[in-house]
Amino acid sequence: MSLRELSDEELIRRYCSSGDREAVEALVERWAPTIRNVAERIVLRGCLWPRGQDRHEFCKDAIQRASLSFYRSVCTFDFRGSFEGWLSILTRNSVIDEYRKATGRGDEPLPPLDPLDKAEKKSAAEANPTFHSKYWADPAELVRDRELKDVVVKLLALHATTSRYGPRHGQISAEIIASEVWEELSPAEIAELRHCSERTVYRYRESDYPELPSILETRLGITKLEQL
Amino acid sequence: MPDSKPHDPRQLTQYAFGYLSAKEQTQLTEHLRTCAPCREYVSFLRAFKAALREAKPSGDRLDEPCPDSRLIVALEAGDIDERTAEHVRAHLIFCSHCRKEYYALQQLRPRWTDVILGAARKLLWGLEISGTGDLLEPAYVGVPQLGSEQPGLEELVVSDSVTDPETEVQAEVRIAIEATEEEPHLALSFEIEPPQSGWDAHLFDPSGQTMSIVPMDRPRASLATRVRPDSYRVEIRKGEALLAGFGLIVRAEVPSDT
Repeated sequence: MSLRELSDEELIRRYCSSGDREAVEALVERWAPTIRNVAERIVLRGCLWPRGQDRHEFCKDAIQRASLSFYRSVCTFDFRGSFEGWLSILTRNSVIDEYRKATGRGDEPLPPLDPLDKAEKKSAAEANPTFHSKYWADPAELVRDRELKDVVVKLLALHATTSRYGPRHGQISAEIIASEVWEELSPAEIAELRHCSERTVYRYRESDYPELPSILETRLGITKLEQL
Repeated sequence: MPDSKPHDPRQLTQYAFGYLSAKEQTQLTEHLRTCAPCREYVSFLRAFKAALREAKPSGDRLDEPCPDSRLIVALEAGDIDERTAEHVRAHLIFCSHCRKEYYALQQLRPRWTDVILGAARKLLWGLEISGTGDLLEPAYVGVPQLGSEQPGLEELVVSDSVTDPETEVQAEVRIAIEATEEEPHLALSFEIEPPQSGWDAHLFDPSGQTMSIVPMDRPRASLATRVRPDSYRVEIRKGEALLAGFGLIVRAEVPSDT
């Protein structure tokens, strides 16, 4: 039976149990279009490439990183979910890591070179990591602070999670407000950045500013900003 | 907070940020002289914006390190515990770098729009919309405007721009919801510009069963002529691939306070 006829699971087992290079190469060949497709959509459609660098060249680098990561991580796949889903997440991580490296924002090391030395290292998401942002609004902390600029920063962060329309909506509107006030972007510029229509920007902004006074009062116990 | 609600928060927001015409601006200034709730809301907005400007993160430096790239990916994929998600979301607001990564990842997702409508007396009201699409003029009502006397309409149209990721071909898709004579029945239809051969509109009923599949190789077509107010889903597909979707929730009456 040719390697091409073997299932993904059989190819992975061959490679990970005995280091069969041909097996993993058949697997890479099978899944290369998926890696390329995911990377191209993030880089080219999502406009995520470093300023001053050719976007197609950067995309190639990102694909290369994802392919290397594939070789090095494939033995951590545990067959519990879909292989395509696992590979898509691995490619997304690789593209972001490559972008961060290219923009000088850190260089996430690739997984161990020897795939047979796999095992214990799970992905960060699987390991359920936590991240603590000082911008997250903890009402108890806020009562201690009560400095106007701290209050509005935390109000915005709180709004991102407690919007009556749900956290996804709240997050988008908080980001739009931040882009407008801090980066001084016009609705048209925000729409371009977010890949949405200008009307959508207006809609989020106008629906969510009116929520802020009631969040301030009900969640943070402050009735007027001017009192601070 | 004022004891009563401001009259039209949407218009007041535009006023506070100087987006109204000179005439509208003058009219509203007059109104503010006699309306304390509206005055307090405008005052809040101005104080909020001024304070937020003061709090702008300085340059490229944030007061905290960025989350691991895996957390940005996991947040976008919805594969993260809620507590961590809250913190990463808060970081995204303040970090334009991570925000850019997050937006780029969203390009992997099909476009999706959820709309909640009210239907009564053969008229429709737009109550809430979220996602990538829009409610079109003249039907635009955005989100609930409490206390507003927004008139209902006989037809509402939800629109989104849909792209085939394989070919990069783009088309404008509009889903029309029409209140028909035989209340409480509704009619659903689509328009597409330009028409696309190989694309289909799939209509699903509240239980997720397919009600109709209609090719989108024509500029407009009916999806259903007599449906009751309930939850429906319209998916734009090319073969098995989902290109975009619309979640439609139609309530049989307009709530007085959402």
